Amino acid sequence: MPIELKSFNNKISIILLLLILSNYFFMSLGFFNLILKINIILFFISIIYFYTKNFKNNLSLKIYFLLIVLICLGTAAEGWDLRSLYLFHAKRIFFDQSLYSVADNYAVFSHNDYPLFPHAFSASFAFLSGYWHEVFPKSAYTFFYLAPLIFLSSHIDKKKYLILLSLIIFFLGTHLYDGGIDGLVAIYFITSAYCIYEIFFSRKNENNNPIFIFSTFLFCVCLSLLKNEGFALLVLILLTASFVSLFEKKLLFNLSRLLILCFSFIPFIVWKIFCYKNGISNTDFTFSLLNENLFERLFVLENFLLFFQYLIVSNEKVIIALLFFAFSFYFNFNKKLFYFVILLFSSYLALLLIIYFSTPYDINYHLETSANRVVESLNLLLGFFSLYNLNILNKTS
Amino acid sequence: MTYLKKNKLIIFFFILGILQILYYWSERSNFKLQILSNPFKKNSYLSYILPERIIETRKILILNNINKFNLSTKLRNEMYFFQRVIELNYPIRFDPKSKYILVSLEENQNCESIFKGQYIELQKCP
Repeated sequence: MPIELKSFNNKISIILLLLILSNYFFMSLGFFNLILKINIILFFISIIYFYTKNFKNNLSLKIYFLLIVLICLGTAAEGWDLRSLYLFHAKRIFFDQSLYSVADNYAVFSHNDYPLFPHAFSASFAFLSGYWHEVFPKSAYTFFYLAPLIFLSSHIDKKKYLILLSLIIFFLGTHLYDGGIDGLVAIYFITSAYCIYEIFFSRKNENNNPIFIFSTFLFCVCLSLLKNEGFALLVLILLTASFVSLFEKKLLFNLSRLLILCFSFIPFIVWKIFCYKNGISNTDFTFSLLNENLFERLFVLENFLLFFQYLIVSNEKVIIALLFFAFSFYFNFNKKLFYFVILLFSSYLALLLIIYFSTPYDINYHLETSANRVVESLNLLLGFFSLYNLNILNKTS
Repeated sequence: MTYLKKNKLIIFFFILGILQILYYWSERSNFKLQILSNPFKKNSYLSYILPERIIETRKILILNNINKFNLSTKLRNEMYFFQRVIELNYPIRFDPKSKYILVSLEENQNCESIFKGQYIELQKCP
């Protein structure tokens, strides 16, 4: 891809991220007026600019995204989580004109401890229309995908990028248009993991410039604010990168970058302090549950079988992702990348095991209702880095 | 023709992506052209996704100018109904202390009837 186009794509993705983050920032300061509307109008103008300037650039993404937005705008808000959690929070922000009204802990089932970042963006779509409705605000979750997708297009060659888009459609499926957050977590997760890997281990100068580090920082902030899982994944990426750096004896060299990226935790930590001060806690996971359920379930073999059955064996998408990963690294065994991905994969799996084993619900029920969603991040991690590994192979040959 | 030959892989994956989207559109979504023609509609096409008895609660609460409502124990125990009614009716809030209570018509609740709908009744308890 020509350097001008690459730089154009990078700039557009940074602008989109900044506009999404500023939307949240304005709302957190209590600005629910014209500034918010201007901000969201600028967001749409940036997308139109991306579509019209260099029309042939990224044409496949433009066509796919347009089709997905049309499907999104042609379906009513139906999913359980979408109605009970995501759109409900957006609705509360719209009617209460505040991000902090969740302090009353009304409707505990809506997980009031979840960060409100994506729902604030959704609410701003309703503010733009001037009244509450569901279909257009639901599309906000689809528009969230655009920034990382544009960003990745400038870092992977054209053929591989088309394969990546096919993989994303295959792995995320209905989440692309039904307002699910797990697909968003998956895409921001792989983008952040890719950026951090490049910053820590790449020898390319272009990926060590301040703009690239700034984009990485923005992706990390977004990932941590999407959902509690997003924050956990960000911590795991940084821990894995630090561990591999340590193994490579490069940790001191990467320390300053690591510290900069750790600042991306701040918005999430501030939100959690707010929740803690108002007595809002997670209903699915508390530290007391670790004692009550985890240790008891750890000694029952059947629980492990259930866990691996739901997350890996009976999920054909995970099997495909694992086969693709094996195929890719068979042809090009990049040791550093292999360890990075495997460590990240296993640590997230271990974290999921702890969460599922300490659930207050029946473990079978909890896995049945959520395993398909949480596994998307793992699928995309394997799929993306397998492709990235082949991309490196092409470049070196 | 030379372009097609040179870019076989690109065309293949482009078509694969389109086919996947078409599959999701036709098999895995409840896409309606009517919704796409006006996605800004205030009623959000609720009749496509929510049962009539849930939509009716909103009509009853708005018609009777109720700010806070309670639900009968039977309705509270129906998890789907409970969550849908709470999120749908916001900013009208569920409050277990409210004297205005929604009951289903099959139930026997001995409070004063305020409004009777097709599925749900609004009663005022002392």
